[in-house]
Amino acid sequence: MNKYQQAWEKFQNKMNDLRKRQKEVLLRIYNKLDQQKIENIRKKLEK
Amino acid sequence: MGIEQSTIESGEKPKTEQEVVIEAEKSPEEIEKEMLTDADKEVASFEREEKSDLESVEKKASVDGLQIDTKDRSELEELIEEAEQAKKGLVKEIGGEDESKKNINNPNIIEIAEDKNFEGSTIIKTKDAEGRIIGYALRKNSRGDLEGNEIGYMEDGSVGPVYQLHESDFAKLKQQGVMESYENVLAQKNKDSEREQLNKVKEFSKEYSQEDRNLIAKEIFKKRKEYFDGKKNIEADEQDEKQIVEQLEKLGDDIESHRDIPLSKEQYLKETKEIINNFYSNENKKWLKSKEEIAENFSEENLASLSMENYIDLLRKFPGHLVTHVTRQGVRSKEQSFAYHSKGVGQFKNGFKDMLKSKKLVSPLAVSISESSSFHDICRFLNGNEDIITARDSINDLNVEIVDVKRLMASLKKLTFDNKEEYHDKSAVHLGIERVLNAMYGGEKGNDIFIVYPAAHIVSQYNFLNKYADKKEKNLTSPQNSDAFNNDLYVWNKNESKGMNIDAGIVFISENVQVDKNSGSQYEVDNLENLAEITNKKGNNDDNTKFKKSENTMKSREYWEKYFSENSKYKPSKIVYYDANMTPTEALNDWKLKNNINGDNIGARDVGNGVGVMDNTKARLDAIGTRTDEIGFGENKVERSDFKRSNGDEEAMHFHRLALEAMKNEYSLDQLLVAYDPNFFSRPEDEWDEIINKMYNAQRVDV
Repeated sequence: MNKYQQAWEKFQNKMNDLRKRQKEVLLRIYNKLDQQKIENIRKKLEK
Repeated sequence: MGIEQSTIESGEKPKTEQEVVIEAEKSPEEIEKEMLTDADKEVASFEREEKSDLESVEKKASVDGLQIDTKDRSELEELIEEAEQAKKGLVKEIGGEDESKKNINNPNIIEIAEDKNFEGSTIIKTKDAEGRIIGYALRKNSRGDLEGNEIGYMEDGSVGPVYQLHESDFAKLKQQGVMESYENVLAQKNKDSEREQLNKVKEFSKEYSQEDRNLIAKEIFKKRKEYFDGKKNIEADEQDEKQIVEQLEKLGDDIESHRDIPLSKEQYLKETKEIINNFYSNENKKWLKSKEEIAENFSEENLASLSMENYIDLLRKFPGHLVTHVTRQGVRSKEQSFAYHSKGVGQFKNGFKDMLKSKKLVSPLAVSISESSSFHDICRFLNGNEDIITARDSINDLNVEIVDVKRLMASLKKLTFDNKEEYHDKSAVHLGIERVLNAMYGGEKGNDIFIVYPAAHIVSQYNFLNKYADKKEKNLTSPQNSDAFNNDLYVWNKNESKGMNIDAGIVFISENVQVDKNSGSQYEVDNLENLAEITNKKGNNDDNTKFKKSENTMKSREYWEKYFSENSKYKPSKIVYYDANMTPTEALNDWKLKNNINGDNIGARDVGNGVGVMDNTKARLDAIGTRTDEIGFGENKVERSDFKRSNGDEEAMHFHRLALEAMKNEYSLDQLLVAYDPNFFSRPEDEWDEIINKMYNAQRVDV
């Protein structure tokens, strides 16, 4: 019983970690895209 | 099983406490199976969500022309790989088998069974390449050491020879996968044992620990609730983030649309291309491609309504050729006349001002039969526009010499019967093509006033005859190379003889010649329009040099601006003041050149030579299927052979009757009514002459 619970918890912890990292990467991607877009607007304003 | 495992299903509705308790009673095998299924689902969900998010991001990036960091993309891909590995780790830890890997190493194992004859061994039957069935009876002794036998089976299934297995044999069996099968059987036995034990515990707890079971169920329920609440929070956070990003994007778009933002290169090129395409599309619409468009744009009404700017714009399009009419304003110079057109030389005339009163350019005939004309004027016209004394004029003065009515009748006969060409000549407005014919028909030299009309206006609105079109380079769209008399365009109104609206053309007035403040002439003219002559002047009497130049002068432009200021209703809608140092034709070509009308091939060399036809004129004319001497309106063209035109005969008959009426009144010849007979002039001439003489003599007796 402990074996299943431990294995499952371990799997769950791993998946939670992966979800967290996945969320972080996606957020990072969004941030970078927003940054790019803002940069484009800024460049247009400077011209 | 992991009690919580069944709770991990994406989008699953939270289970009740009772459901949780029921799940807690499942067998380890069932739990294991469900764990693997749920792990599969979770990893699949993980991958699916990541893929969906990534696609969404890529779409957004693509729309905005943005780039996703390749490292971030790789990291996302690695996360999926890690999830797969986590699932494999789970499988490994709970001892479950990956279905795809089952029986890979024991393809020749055909049966696994228990046999009490071999000390409770597990019998693993195999089939070799020759089809022989060999069994391995494997077991562990009391010390836990592995031991066993090899069993040869007969074809009928009975047991054949049996051999004791040695340690080296077990290594060989391991390679064949037989040992692994044996281990699996042992593991399953353990599981069964555990399951049996669990069932016992389960039954025990139900009987003795129901309260604890309920507590555990509540704990599980609590955890489930936390999970789903957390999941909701995550989803809410994600939704908030999405809204924030959307707001940011909208803000960015608003900034772009409300500010004059310099464009990116791509945007610039795209928008520039659109501007150019739109421009040419609109320009193409502007070009006059059909006769209907030309007729509409060059109608008298439209031309009269156009501003100078729009008029020039129209002339730049199609076709830009011009025709002219020079007026007799001021003292007619002998140099601007010739043998058959010398009338009025040395006399002051207000031809232009008279024209302004009606705002019409009309034919000599139309002048004589206009509403303001009298019967006397018509008789004067029949007298070749020479002053005339009719019978009526002689009532108070019997000593004056009366112009014989027979002369007028002869003139009428000549006009309307004998020589129709003369009638048509007199009934037409005469224009010059591409040149101003001041040298032959002009008024005061150096102070000429002329009117210009587009050739397209003439051909599309009037009946016309280019009298010398058969001669070389004399069509409407060819440059005319001289001011010779063989440049003569006849123009008739198609319906009534209402003349040509001056406002449909452009009036050219000399700008900088010194003229008399009262008359507008360069010469001194009194109130009775008599010219002051220079005393003791030698030379030709017809020469204007004999006339005294005015000393009370102003610039010609100032004179006419003052005149139009005082007589605003007479002011033409479009006036060009030209440099009097140029001839009228030079001034016309200079104006065309400056306004890019027929401009491309007018070089400095050509200015003054009257050359000015656009290079692409032919192409344009060809495009609407026209002949260059008609500009597409051949139906309005009158042939010189018969002068046949829409209302020509009716107009001639109208004039004929009017002329007879005038003679009847001016000579009191009531019996002349007989001449109303349309066949009157078709009678033999001697008969016709006799009738006239008889009528005339009879009337004279009465008078």
